[in-house]
Amino acid sequence: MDNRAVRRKILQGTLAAPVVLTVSSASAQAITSFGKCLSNLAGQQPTNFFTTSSSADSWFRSQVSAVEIFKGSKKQGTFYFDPKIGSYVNVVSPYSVFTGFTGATPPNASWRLGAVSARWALVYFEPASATPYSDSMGRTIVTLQKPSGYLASSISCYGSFARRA
Amino acid sequence: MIEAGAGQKPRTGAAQVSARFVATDDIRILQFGDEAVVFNPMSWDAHLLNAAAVAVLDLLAEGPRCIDDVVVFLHETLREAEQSDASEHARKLLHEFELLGLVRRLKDEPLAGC
Repeated sequence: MDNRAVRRKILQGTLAAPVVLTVSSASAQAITSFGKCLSNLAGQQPTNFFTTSSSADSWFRSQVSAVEIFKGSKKQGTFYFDPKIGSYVNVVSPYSVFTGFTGATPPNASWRLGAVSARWALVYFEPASATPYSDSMGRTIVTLQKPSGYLASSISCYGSFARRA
Repeated sequence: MIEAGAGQKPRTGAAQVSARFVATDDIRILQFGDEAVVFNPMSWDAHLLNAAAVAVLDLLAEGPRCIDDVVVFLHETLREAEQSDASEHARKLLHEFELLGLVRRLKDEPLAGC
């Protein structure tokens, strides 16, 4: 009789009903903690959606491209193409939507795109899942239109929890 | 509810007769006395199992077992007051193990006696 069989023989008629308890996993704990940290920031969300430096403030940001738009020789401003609304938005507050044309590409020769430069834009996270706002393919979407229920994260929150989640 | 006397194999219903289960290969079991912590590297979850649950998982780690094997095992192993519920415990436990990824169901492999 092997060890297992011996052990079972000993156990016969002695055990209580089987019970399985799941211990919270490290990843689940990190998601929960990140969500709580984010929720604490709900009342102090940043007003600057774009900055010109990644270290301009303590909010978690993603680098995006901003482009100059010209009508003829006149510069209209510097804009970021917001994929959620399908239009350019001005990178200077109050971040007005560009109305010269819609879509990412100028429709005719009277419009042209100029120099491209970097900006750092807020990334919005959903507290419950600790995931950034994204499209159906899972690609993160940086949008000025803050999605309902999503919040900007401080670098502290993100660094402490999100990368482990 | 099954009624099984000594030496009589309890039956659990025709729908589950041929289902067989085996413990997932990659799980890690850390025994602490009669209880155990089971780590599933696929889900990164850890589970605390009492003696009866560990014993069933141990049984399924030896090789595929049909649900009736587990019912018989629990019927023999549980204390007298729990024995009449062995079928229910086996069904629930296997379902929970399967959901947690601790066991997998073997399909299309009927085994004589199941």
